[in-house]
Amino acid sequence: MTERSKVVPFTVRHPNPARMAEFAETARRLEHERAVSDDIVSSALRGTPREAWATLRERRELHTSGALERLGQEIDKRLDTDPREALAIAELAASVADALAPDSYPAIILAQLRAHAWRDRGQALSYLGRYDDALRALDRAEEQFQKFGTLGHDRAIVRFCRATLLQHLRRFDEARAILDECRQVFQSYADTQSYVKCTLAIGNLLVRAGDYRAAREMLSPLAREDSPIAPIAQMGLGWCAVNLGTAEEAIEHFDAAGRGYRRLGRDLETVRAAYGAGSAMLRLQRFSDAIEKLRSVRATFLSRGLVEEAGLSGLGIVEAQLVLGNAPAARDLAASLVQEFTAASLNRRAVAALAYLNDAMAASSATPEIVRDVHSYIFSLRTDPLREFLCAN
Amino acid sequence: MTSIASPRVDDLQSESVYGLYFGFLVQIAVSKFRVPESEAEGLTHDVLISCLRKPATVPDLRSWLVGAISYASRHYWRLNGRNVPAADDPDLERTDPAPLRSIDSVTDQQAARDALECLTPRCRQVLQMRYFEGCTIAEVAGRLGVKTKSAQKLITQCLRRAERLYHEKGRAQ
Repeated sequence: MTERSKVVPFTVRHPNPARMAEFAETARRLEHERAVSDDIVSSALRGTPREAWATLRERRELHTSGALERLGQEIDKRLDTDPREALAIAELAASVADALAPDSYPAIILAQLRAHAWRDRGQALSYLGRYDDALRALDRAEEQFQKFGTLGHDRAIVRFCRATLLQHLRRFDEARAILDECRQVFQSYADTQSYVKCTLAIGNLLVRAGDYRAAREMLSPLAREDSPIAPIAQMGLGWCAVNLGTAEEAIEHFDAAGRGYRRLGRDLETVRAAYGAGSAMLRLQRFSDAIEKLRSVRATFLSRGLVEEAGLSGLGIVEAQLVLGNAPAARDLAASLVQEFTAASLNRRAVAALAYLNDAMAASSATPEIVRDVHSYIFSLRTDPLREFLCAN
Repeated sequence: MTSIASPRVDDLQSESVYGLYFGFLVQIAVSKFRVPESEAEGLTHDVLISCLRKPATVPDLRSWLVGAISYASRHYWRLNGRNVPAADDPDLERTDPAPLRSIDSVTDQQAARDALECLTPRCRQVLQMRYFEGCTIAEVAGRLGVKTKSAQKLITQCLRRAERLYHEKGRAQ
C-alpha cells in the first residue's frame, strides 16, 4: 500500500433512500402528534375522574408518541405537588407504551417511548417512598436499551433517576458510580443542562454522605450561576457550612437560596431555606433569632400539612428554649409535637422518641443534647424508617 | 399508523439533516472506531432516528450526534468482543471542533489528499494514528513516546495545519 493510499480516508457516502424516507416519515409523524396531543391529553385527563384514569389506556388517540410525551409533562408537573396523581398518570403512560403495536413506530422509537414511560413510573413511585417498586420500574426501563446501544443518552437519563433513588436509600457508593457514569455520557453528548444537573446531584450526594468539603468544592461553581439550580446549590452549601462549623456563612447561603427560590416562585423551598437559616442560628447560639425564625417556618409547614418538617423545626425551638431557661415553653411545645405526630399517624418510632422527650421534659431531666438526639433520629427515619431510637443520655 | 401526505418545509429540513450528517457520522464510526461500514450505516440511522424524540433537549445537534455515534460505536464493540473503554476519549467532540468541521465539509477529496501529503511526516503519522487507526490520545502518546498532553497539543496543531492547507489547496483548485 502506498503512503498516498494509506492517508486518504474520505469516502463520500450516500444514505439509503428507504432509510431516509423512514426518517422523514417518522419526523413528520412525531411532529404532527406533538402538535395535536396537548388537547387530546388535557381533555382526556380533565374529563375523567382520577380513579378512572387507568381506563384511558383503551383510548386509541393516546397511543401515540406525542400523547406519551405530553403525559410525561403532566407527570413532571405533579411530582412535587401531588405525587399520587403523578403515579396514576405514570401508570397510564406505562400501560399505553407497553400496548403500542410493534410496527407502530421504528423499533428504536418504541424502545425510547417505553423506557421513558417506565422511568416516569419509577420516579413517581420513588416520590411516594415505594423504593422497591421504583427500582423494579427502572429495571423495566433499562431493559429497553438492551437491543439499542445507540440510546446512550436515554439510558443515562434513566440511570440518573436510579442514582437519585439510591441516594434516598443511602446507597451512596452505587449512586456516586452511576452519577459519574451519567455525567460522562451527558458531557460526551454536549448536554450541558443534564451535565450540570448531574454535578449538582453529586454535590448533594456528598452532603448527604457527610463529605462536606468535597461537596462544597463541587457545589460552589454551581451556586454562582444565575440559573434555577443555583438555589439548590446554595442550600447544599448552607448545610456544608453548618456541618463545617461556619454557621455565619451558612446563613448567607440559606438566605441566597431563599431569595433564589422566591424568584422562582418555589414557596415551599423558600421556607426550607429559612429552616436552614434557623438551624444555623442555633449553631451560632443566636437562640432568640433562631426561635423567631423557626416559629415562622414551623407555622408555614403546619399550614401545608407538613407535620414532620414542622416537628423538626419545633425541636429546634425546644432546644433553644431549654438553653434560654424557658422550660415551661419547651415542655408545652414538646407535648404539642407528640400530639401532632400522633394525629398525623407518622412513624410510630418517631412518636415514641418524641414521647420519650416529653417524659424527660415532665421529669425536668431533658437537656439540649437529648433534643438534638431526637431531632437527628427523626430525620434519619426518612431513609431508615425501621431504625431504633438510642438516646445517648 | 397516522399518515400525513403533504410535504412540509420542516420535513425537507429533516431530510437535509439526514443527508448532512449521515456521511459524517458513518465516517466517525468507520474511521475512529473501525466499525464495519454496513454496521456503521445502521448505527448512524438509529442515532438519527432516535434524535427525533429529543428536539427540545438537544442544544447542539452536531455535538449530540457525535456523542451518540461514539457511544453507539463503543457499544457495538462491547457487544462484539472488543473492549473499548466508555467515553475514554471525549476530546474528539470538544478539543478541536474546528478542524473536524473541515473533515465534515470535505467535498473535494483531492484537496484533502494534497493537504495531508503536504504535512510533515510526523504530523501525517499523528493524524493517521488518531483519526484513521482510531487510537486514543493516550495510545498516540504511547506510540510517540511523549506525554498525553503533548500528544493532544500535537494533534490539535497538525489538524489546524491540515485544515489551513486544505483550504489553500481547495482555493487553488
